[in-house]
Amino acid sequence: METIDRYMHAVAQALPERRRDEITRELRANILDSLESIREQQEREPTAGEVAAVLVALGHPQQVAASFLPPQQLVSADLFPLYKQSLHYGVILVFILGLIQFAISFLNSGSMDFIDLFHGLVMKGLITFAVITGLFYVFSNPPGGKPLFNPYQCWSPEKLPPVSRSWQRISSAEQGVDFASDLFFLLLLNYSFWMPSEHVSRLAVMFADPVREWIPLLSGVMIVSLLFGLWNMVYQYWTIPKLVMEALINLGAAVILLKVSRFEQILVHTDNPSVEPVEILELANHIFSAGVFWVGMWLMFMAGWNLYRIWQLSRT
Amino acid sequence: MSEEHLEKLRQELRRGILVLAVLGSLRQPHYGYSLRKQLQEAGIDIDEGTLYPLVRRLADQGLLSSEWQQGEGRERRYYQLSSEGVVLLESLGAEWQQLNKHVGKILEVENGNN
Repeated sequence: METIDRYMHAVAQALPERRRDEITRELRANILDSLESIREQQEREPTAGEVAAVLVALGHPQQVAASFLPPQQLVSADLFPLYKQSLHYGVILVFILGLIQFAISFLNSGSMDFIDLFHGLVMKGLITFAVITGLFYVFSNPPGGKPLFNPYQCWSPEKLPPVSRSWQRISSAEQGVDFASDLFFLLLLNYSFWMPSEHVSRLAVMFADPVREWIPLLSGVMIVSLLFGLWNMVYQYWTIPKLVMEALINLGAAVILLKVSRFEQILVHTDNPSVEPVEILELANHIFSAGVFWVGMWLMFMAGWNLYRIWQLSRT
Repeated sequence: MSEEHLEKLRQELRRGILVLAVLGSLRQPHYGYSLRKQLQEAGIDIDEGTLYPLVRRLADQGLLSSEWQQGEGRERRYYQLSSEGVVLLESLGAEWQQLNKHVGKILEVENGNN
């Protein structure tokens, strides 16, 4: 009997208090019936081993307790696709925000603390994971058992994305990285608007005058690209009008960058007597010119690639 | 197909039918152990860890009524179909007969082709 008491105690521990007495009372009666049957068959009292075997056949106390309760899931099978998608977007959002924060910190102080960046991304990623999982736990186990919402209710076959080729799907991760890099360069180009004046006054280099003339136009192209990126995050597939827009953005940025790469100097010394001049400025200008040139060429190629895809889609 | 996979499919197939078998058996009152014995005698072997929670769930859904009775010096909880359970058993039974007939025909055709 002591073994049974221990078993019942272990089952009771895993049950909610309001159902504890009722379930354990019934379970005990069932166990005693099983032992009674052994007694009748063997014509003797069940041995300790036989009692243990009956309990083992019933199952682990936690398992037995759980089987008497309504099934609970961290995330229901129905909601799992949406859960995975939410985690996917959550991770991308954390990554973009982390990169923006890192970029602002770098442009502000000049320090590149990659360990801090990694630590921040991991911590924010874990918090995002916990919050999303917590929300889906509530959605999967709603109070009262009535579903809080049905995410698969509002749809119609006509509203599904008009996608006929696999490349028409836009990758969220790729779009996220594009968005973050656009934002980074937009901030870099327009540092004078947001950087504290004391930091600006301590800068050793600045954009050369001919480059500065092109910054407003390039910024305009990047703002359009950012807005277009947001649009692509909502409607993640390419259509002919979107490809035309993408081609125009790539072409616009390419023309400006190729023009800028032909200038003799991209960066020049500030006339700040308190700051030591940068010794390798000439080398840096060569590297930047080459970099800007090849980015411009890449964007030109991408504009051509967009045109090729427009042609492909127009044939279907 | 692995044994494990076969066992999983077998359990899936049995899951719905067990409810029907339990409801059918509880036209007469039974306590947990006697219900299990009756099912075993009818050729349906179900382990205690599955049967007792299933009976409890059906009772929670209002398909079974229950009462504690003293017998052979011990208390036992007797279950029996409630009026709601009787109606449901009738519908489920008819559904089962229909399904059994249709699936039987399909299996017969398959066997004939083989």
